[in-house]
Amino acid sequence: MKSSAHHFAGISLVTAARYLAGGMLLAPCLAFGITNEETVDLSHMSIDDLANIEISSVSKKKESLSAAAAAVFVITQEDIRRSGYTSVPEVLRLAPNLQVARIDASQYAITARGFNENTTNKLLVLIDGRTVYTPLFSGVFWDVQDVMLQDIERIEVISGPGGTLWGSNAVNGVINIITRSAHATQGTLLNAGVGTQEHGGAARHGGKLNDNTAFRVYAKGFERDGTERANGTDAHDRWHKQQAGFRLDSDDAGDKFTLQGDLYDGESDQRVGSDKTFSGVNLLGRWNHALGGDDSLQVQTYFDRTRRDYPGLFREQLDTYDLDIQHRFRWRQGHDIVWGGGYRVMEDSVENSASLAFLPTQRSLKLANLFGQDSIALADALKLTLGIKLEHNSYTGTETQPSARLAWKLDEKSLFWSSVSRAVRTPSRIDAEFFVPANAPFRLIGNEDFESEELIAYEVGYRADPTAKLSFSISAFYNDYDKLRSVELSPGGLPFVLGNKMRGNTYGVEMWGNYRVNDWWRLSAGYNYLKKDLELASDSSDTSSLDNSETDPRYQFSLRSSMNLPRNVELDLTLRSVGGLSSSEVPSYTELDARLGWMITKGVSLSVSGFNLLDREHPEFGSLPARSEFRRSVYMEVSWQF
Amino acid sequence: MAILTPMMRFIRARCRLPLAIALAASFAVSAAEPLELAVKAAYLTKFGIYVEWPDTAPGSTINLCVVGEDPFGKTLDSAAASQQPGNRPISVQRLKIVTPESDCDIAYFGNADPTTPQAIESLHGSPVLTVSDSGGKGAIINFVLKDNRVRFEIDEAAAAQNKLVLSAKLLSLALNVKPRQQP
Repeated sequence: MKSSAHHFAGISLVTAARYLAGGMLLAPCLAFGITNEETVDLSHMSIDDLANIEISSVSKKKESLSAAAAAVFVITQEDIRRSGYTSVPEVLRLAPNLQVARIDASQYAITARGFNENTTNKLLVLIDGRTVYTPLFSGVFWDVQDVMLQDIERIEVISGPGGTLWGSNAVNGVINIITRSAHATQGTLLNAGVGTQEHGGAARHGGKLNDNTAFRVYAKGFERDGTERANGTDAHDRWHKQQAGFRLDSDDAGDKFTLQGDLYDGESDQRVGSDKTFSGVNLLGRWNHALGGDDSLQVQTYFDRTRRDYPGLFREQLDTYDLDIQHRFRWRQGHDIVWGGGYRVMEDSVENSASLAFLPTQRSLKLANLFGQDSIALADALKLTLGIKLEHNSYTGTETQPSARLAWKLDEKSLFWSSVSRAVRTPSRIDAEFFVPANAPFRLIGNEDFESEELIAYEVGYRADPTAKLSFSISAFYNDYDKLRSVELSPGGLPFVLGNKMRGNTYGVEMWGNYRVNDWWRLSAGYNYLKKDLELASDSSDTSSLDNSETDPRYQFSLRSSMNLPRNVELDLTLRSVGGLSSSEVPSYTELDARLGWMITKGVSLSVSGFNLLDREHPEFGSLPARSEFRRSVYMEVSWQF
Repeated sequence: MAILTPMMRFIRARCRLPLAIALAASFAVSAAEPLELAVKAAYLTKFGIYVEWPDTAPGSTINLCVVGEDPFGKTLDSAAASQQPGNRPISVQRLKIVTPESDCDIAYFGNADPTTPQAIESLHGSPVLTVSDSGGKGAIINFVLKDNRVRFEIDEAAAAQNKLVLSAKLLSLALNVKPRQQP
């Protein structure tokens, strides 16, 4: 029985399906940018960071990071550049409040606050307001989520629920990848890199159509080597991908228009049969209209198509159409209100194989939502934020996701916050419409009565900048989950049927801090601890889910040193230590990444990075013998900007 | 999509009313612009990292002079207190007028008045990093607002004239650089 459940996990991995879109107008309303706050401390920022601070943003509800009643970590462009990492999932390792585990050459398991899986389903990811999400398993296909890393403005990582603003699936966290405006990416950038395990290149050109309108176009591509297993056999997961896209921004006295799109395709080896392929295209338009003061109206719409073909297993095409509207206004004394709604249609079409099936093969899923949030200034230093989202989905009808957050500014340099919120993970096709194998007798079937998984989360946090050199954040959470997915036996034995009979709680702490030793040396550290305590309902026949649930490290620790040396040389070292995963017997590991960068002359830079330097190889996720090991590697990169 | 129609109607009705009030509010905000000033203050205290002055004793104080009207107030003092570019402490001075004898290492000309170009001119040839704001002529560094961000332009010829060496890093961040003339 245990092996059946493993089999299930294995399938859900390969069935990983696609990403979808769902850009939300909401993205901006939780964009924790920096606002016009006199208290803002810029002393720890590099001069590059200064050049990228938006000094006013009448069009968006940007909440000062120092005022946000949530556990938010921001990865800056400078962090990304200095990490030397070459992919979005690797860059996410910079956030201490995320768990990032590499599965093989192209797949990652990424979550916040636990429940990491091949098909993690409690994290919501947005790229420039477009939700990248697959309704196959309520998760993300990380292999096709890419942007020009040099054009990222910042990545906001929120651990904890965000359902009130972002909707279902923002259960344990939200990742918000925000690229720069085309106005900020003018000129030409050429980049090429070669290393022991990958090579790639990227080019971007930005220009102006007129005084108000700027554009950029880019293209990038890479080829990444396959991985090996512990026994030395080839995992057959070598892959390559190419992507191109554009962005157009027009700012005209209170109106901002953005039009952007991407096009990609790629191929990956597989052990048997022809190569797996994936491709996609997306197009997004956003209009933001300033109504004066901080009041604004935003309308966003996008289309996203993504295709995935795993010969011999399944094929999928998902088309997503999304429209979101949000309006922000001040009301009376001390009310800052954001409200809006959205509508999304996901047309999902699969071709099944003998080994598994999603039935019906064609499905049209609809998602409609209405939300409202009021930030109430109770006193000068005390802000209460109440919000609620009503969301209607095709499986369980209307779900309610309320939250209450309190921010208490103790003084100019410290903030205490706390929150209670409810979030749900609504059913996906794998929960309700999944059959293994494709024809009877089945071994595993989905459950058309599958319910939403529910969470009530309690959080407290404290953030402070006690001195100009030191800043830190500590947060603690207690999560109470109900109706988690379980694998039940049918009355007569097989097949297994998915159920909602697991419940339990998790608790933990997340902390990170920055210490500026002097002008040229900065240290950052992060630590988190997570404990899970799950149980099955008394009438559950599940014999495997508890055993298989320990897929999260109990602790993670990271220490990062960033030095600016003479002669325009930068040295960055990152040490990370990650606890073991007991269900799959992945041992704990400690690794070191390093980057040496040199700006040869204006616009021309060269860097050499080394990754996983402490061991010849180590695994991060999955069970023996099939799991991949990741070797020490080196990557050299040259960039020319003019 | 039917759900959206009443929503749009409500938004339209709702947005009309607060517009005038909101416009007034935004005007008030743009007058203060504390963040813009904070960013400029942070720049001023960090430029020292990227500039080499001739004949400078290690550890000596960097004199950061604000010439004319001071827009910063305490913002600049607290920014300066937290920075030691190249292990050199920063001392903020406020001057009505500036001369080569004022002993400034960095001179910032905020709200330009008719005498500003002349004042900047008077420092040509002295080892002073002149910084002006939005269109001041002749300064080595000139702050400009671009895409809602505080950026700057560099006149490398003027820097050379004042015998200052600007690092490639600083030059790379400039929106544009007026290159030094070849001798």
